[in-house]
Amino acid sequence: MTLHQDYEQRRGSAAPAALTALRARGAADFDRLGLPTPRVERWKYTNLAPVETMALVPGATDPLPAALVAGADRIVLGAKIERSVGALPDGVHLGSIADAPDAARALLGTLASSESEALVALNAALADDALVLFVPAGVAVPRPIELIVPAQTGVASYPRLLVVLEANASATIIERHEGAGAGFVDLTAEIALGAGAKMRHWRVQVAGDARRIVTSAVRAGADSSYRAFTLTLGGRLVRNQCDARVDGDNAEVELDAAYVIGGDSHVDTTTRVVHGALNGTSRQTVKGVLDGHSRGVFQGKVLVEEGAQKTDGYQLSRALLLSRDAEVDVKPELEIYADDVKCSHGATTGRLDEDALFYLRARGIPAQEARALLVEAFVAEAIERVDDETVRAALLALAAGRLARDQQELAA
Amino acid sequence: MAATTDTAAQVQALADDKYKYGFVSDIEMDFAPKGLNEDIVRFISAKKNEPQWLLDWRLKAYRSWLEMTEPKWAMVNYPEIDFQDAYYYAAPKAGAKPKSLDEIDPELLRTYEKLGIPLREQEILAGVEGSERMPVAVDAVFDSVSVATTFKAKLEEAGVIFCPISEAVQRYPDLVRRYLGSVVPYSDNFYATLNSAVFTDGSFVYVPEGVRCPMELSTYFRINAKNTGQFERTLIIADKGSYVSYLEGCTAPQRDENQLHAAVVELVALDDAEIKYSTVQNWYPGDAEGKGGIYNFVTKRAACRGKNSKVSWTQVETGSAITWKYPSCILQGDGSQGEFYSVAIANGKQQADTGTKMIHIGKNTRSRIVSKGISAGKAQNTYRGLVRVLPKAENARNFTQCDSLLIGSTCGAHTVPYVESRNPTASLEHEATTAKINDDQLFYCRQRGLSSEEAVALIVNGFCREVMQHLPMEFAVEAQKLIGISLEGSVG
Repeated sequence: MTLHQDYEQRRGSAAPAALTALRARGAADFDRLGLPTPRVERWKYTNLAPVETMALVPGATDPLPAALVAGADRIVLGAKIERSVGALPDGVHLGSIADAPDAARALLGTLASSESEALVALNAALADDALVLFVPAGVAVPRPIELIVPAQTGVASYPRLLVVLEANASATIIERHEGAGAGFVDLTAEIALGAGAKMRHWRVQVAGDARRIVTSAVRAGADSSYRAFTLTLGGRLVRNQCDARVDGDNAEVELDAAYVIGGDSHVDTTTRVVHGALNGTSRQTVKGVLDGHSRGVFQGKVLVEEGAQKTDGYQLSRALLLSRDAEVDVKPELEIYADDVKCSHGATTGRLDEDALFYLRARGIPAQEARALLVEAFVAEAIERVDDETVRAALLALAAGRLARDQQELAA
Repeated sequence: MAATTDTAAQVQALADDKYKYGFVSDIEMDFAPKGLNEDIVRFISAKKNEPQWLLDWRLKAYRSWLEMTEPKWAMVNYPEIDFQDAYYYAAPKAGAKPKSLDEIDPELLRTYEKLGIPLREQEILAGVEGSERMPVAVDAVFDSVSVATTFKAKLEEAGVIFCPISEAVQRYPDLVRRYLGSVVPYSDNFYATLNSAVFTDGSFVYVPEGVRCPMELSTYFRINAKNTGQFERTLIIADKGSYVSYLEGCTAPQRDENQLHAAVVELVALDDAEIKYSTVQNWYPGDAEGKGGIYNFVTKRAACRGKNSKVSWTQVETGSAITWKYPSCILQGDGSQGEFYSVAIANGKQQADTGTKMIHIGKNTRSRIVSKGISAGKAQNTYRGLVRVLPKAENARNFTQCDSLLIGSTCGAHTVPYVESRNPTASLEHEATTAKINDDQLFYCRQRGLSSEEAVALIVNGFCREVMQHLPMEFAVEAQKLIGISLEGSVG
């Protein structure tokens, strides 16, 4: 079965009543848009043709991994939402859209527009349910919430997430994209932060044959803070796209990412930060290590609307090419309509610094080890942006493990 | 196909048959009727007495153009252009031109005065009727005819060919045929294709092997400088080990009856050759509302074909209502170098979308991009650039620096760079910043008695310094003055 056949079959399937309108609109939009081709500027460097033709025949399911952070609440966003969650503060809702508070339900489909983004439309059309995290004003969710998003061989899945943090609420989500099978995941997350709210959003994507398109749409209210970091360790085709809007004064948005890939991996990080309010800050650091025939893409846009004075925007993209056949394409973009701003970006691509390598070798470190050390340090610089010590340590360990595996393969 | 079997004689016959083909005059007339069709293309070619191959080439271009659509990706807005509502060969003289300077936009005259341009030259620049019969623009300074003659003799002595391209087609057909369209093919893009079909004139330069051109070549001094028309075609070839520096444009705002300008410039640098191409573009930007300004849709490209060849583009873009221009370098030869230094100023309602492309193909190729964009008033200024490293470009290097300066809260500054690397030994760096004029610097200058306009001009000139110092002496001083004038009225 192809993606389209699967779509035709599932578009009318049963879903909670709260999703009816979203699904109808999504289907109408997707019928109009179809999957984007590289002729669409936003998809210039990522071709979805292999997704369209992939064979969807369910295979074995991978076992679920152990928790990344001990004691985290776990939710599996598979065919059904499976919860194993401890006690949460009063008023916090973590579960299906069906019994979510009205304040959250009203926001579904209002942040991620399916009108112009086909993958959001496709997700909306086929979402079986939506996981809602609603945190009322002033409440802090005490433990990180781990979301497991499995990719299963031969299965296309369309998980949907809605996070609503009211004024001064806070929460941490760890999103784990698991499963090495040749499946397709099209996840759409909508995140609304009220005044002074604080959200941390960490994401890990394992290696394998999965194809994942992850879209997040963020709206940051006044004085709020949204920080996200994505560590991608592989995947046949991965695109993490984020649309963030600085909607209230003094808000902060940080979208960082690191990827370590080889083989035929294709990893695309596409971001768009719109500053629509005063004194906003946005930061992006994207670092990539590319081996084999892999291809890395970074497209980042910072748009400062007229009147969004005192905006401070910064983007940095650095890529390390370790192989002759790897390719990296970078497009950092600034679109600025206000004058009292400070916006800049930097982009570099190249290989390991020969001088640094020589320095280490001169101190008796074998070439291969020296190289590994430098690559690790290169990636670590991005992971350091994660401001949660436990998570940071776990991510560093994952990246180091991935690099060590590369070394072993190289030695073998 | 019928077109390829047509001979020049048949073309002439067609042109003569005025009733059948709707011409209002015979072959001796000075202009073709409005609109664009194959007959117009044949007419232009016949008028220039061109060989069959060139006519065929023009027709091929025209037919591809019919299949093409206007590019829409640039960040510029303008009303739909009616390509059938334009003259493609010398518009009729009567009626189109102002009778005297009294009919010229007073703003324009004020600028001429500031630049210190003599009255008669002002008339030529403003396109006043009858002014084209006067000696060339620089006559107030010295007798240009004699200067031109001396220059010609000197160039001939060195073996440098510098003439209108239509003359080159007659005198050096082999050279033209070999290189024309070899850098910008006739089917390249919408405007370049249109240019290929209907180009009327432009410059041709050939610098023979090992020759260092004894002087800066300039369209300003070119004998056939006037009426090169809106579809200019320039071809410069630097043979092995040669060097040439070419200046285009002038600092004075030029008025022109043709609103659409679609020029094509092709540069070819062979082994160890170097071409330095400098432009000061100050076409009429339109009135305060942006009306009547020039649309400048230019295709400029250089092929660094030879080993260790080098091409350097320097541009100061202050004029035109819309600028759409991406001077590029194809770095084919091993060790070849491309440079792009640009200052783009957009004030009032001007829109500039400009940048460069550096395509690294050969080993050890290097490129450097320095772009300074300044937006003021209600203008939009975009840098759009591409650096592409192909798999065989061992040790390619690129450094890109794009800075934007915003003056006022109603303008826009945009940066759209593409960086594509397919070779691990390549090292690419890109940096871009956007900011406004530093208040402290402004205060410092004001404190020392400069008016706010003088202070802005000084600071902006400092901001552009890195680019300005690459301009030849002749241009540098004037260009500095021009920057100040372009930004007048943007502060306060």
